[in-house]
Amino acid sequence: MSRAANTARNQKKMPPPRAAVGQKHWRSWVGDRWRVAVVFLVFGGAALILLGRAVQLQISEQGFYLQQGGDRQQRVQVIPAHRGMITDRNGDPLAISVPVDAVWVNPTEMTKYYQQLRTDPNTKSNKDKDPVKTLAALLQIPRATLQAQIDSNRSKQFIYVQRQLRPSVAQQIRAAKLPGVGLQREYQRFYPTGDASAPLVGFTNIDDHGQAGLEASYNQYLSGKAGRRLILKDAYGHEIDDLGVLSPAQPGNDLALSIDRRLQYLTYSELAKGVAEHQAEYGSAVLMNVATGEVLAMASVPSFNPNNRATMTPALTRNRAVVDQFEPGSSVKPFTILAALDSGRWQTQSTVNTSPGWVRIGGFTIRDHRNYGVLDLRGILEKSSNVGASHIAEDIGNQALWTTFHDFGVGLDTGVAFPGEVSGKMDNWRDWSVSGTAAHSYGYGLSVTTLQMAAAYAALANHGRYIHPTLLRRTQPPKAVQVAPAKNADIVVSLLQAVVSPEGTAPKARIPGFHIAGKTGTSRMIGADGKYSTDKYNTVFAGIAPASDPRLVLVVVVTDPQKGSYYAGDVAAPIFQHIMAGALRMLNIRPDDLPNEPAQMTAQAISPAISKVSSSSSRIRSGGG
Amino acid sequence: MRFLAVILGVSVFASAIVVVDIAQRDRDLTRSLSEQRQAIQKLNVTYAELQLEEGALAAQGRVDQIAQTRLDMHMPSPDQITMVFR
Repeated sequence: MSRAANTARNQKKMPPPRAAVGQKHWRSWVGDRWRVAVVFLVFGGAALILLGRAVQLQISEQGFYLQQGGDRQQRVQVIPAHRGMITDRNGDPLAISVPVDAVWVNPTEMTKYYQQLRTDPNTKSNKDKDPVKTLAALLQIPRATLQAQIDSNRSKQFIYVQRQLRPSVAQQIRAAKLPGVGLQREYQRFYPTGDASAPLVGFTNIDDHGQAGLEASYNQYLSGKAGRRLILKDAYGHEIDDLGVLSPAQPGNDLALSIDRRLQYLTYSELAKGVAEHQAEYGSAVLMNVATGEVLAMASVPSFNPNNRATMTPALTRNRAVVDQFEPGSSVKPFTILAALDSGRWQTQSTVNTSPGWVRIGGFTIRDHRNYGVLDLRGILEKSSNVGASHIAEDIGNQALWTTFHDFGVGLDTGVAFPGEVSGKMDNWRDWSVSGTAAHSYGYGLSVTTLQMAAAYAALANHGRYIHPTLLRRTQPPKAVQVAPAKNADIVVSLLQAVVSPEGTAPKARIPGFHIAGKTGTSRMIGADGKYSTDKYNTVFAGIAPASDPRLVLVVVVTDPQKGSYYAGDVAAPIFQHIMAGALRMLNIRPDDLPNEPAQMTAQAISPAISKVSSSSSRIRSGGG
Repeated sequence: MRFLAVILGVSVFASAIVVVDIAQRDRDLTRSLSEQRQAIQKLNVTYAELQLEEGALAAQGRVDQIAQTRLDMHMPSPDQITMVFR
């Protein structure tokens, strides 16, 4: 009671003390708003934490997260680059790369999948219960084989199962979406011309690297280099941003050869026919354009199918026109005659007495087939007289002979950049014995390749101007070296026409409508014992057409014919005739030897051709019969 | 002053919208670019296959055989040919 009264009195008499007022204010404040304060504290703290975290993420650890985000969205895309084509001179493909797929398996992933399958039955609902079985079925291989392959590489991440799949099979595998199985883009090389150009063009291995032929020598030029581009993908896998090219793709260059596909096929098929007919061991042929030095066809028999490697053996892949050398025999005699004319000591009408059909020089006996008596230079070529050539060589000396041969490329690289090319062989003239000099004059003691022979004859046909042969299409006029006076070279070409006359060694090389200049060469081969064989022969025919205005040179070499005659005039010459006749027709080269020449022919044949095209064509078919 | 602020505010808003729009268009174009690139790839593959097919069909051996067996063609002998000069 008293206390209450006292308090009331106090309240009345004194102003309230400050502290008491403050205390009351605070308490009332807390009393009213402490909940609000707590809320503020909690939320303010949370906001601060969030802000701090945001600063941490956005500023201090920005780089790390940018990278992580990038890793999840950025992709490196491969820009494919394929190997260049090899085409013929007209752009028709001889070798072409076609994209195919290889199928690979990740054995680690595959094994894991099967373990999971055993422990977790839920996985069984997966429709690919057995990827190995499915894959084996698609590839048509026994399941056990594939299983063994996977088991033996259990720890690996990548093994090829099959390469260069057919597109249809690849499509099925892609659609099946098997776990641990993937496809990889690769290229397969196809050769539309097949065996006709196989030894020349060569082939690539399974990784598209050139292994033989021009595929190997121009591998660098043909190879493409795949590029890489950085891209950004969204969650759906769409490309949404191009972040730039990491390394540009470098597609391989196309290589245009000097070869004409039609002529190549003609040359190859006729050569193959001839080699088979005479049961020869092998053969080669080179067709050259006289004016440019371009090789229009280069065939080698036997050949192989580059699209089916199963049948391929190293012996079949040899391009015998370039990597095999032989003793040319009588086919060098035109150059002996040329050397004689160049010496100034011999003229066309000069004669040699070849009686009695043999001669002893330096302890060796050199023989002709029979006694030809007195021969002029034309006669020596026509009859292919070894005795005549030997007499000439004895007269002009070894240095003159060597110089002419050498200038026409004997024993020298042709520069065609073909892998394994041999340059032939000819000793220095200082090392030639007396009998050696005679032997060289008719083509023994030196060796050449078919290509060298063709280049030498092309120089002869090109009025004595030597042009390095090429297997690539020429875009600029070639450099020609005058290696013999044009007058003498032209004389030799005209003399060589006698060879295909009925009295010559190769009447079977005659082509109606054309003057043909050529020379046979039949030489004994050196056997395994290092001595000249008595039953193995090498036959050569080198020819120029048309002789009055040379355009083409063709050299045919057939080695060791077993059936029938072994003389070049019976073996190589008919093959030459077939190929050259076809080539002259295909290239539309004007005949230079028609019995009744243009004047009246033109009038007769052209008037109906102009008046009515159809009747003129029927006339051509039936005309002249 | 207030007028300027309104203008700026509107511009900021408008540019924000345009940025979004441009970004979207950029993505669309990029996507179509990548589609075109793939189309080029596909066409290249097709072209290579067609060239190959042409090569196989036009192979001399095949033409030769068809001409001889199916079309019954043969090389005329020299006496069946009349030369026409121009």
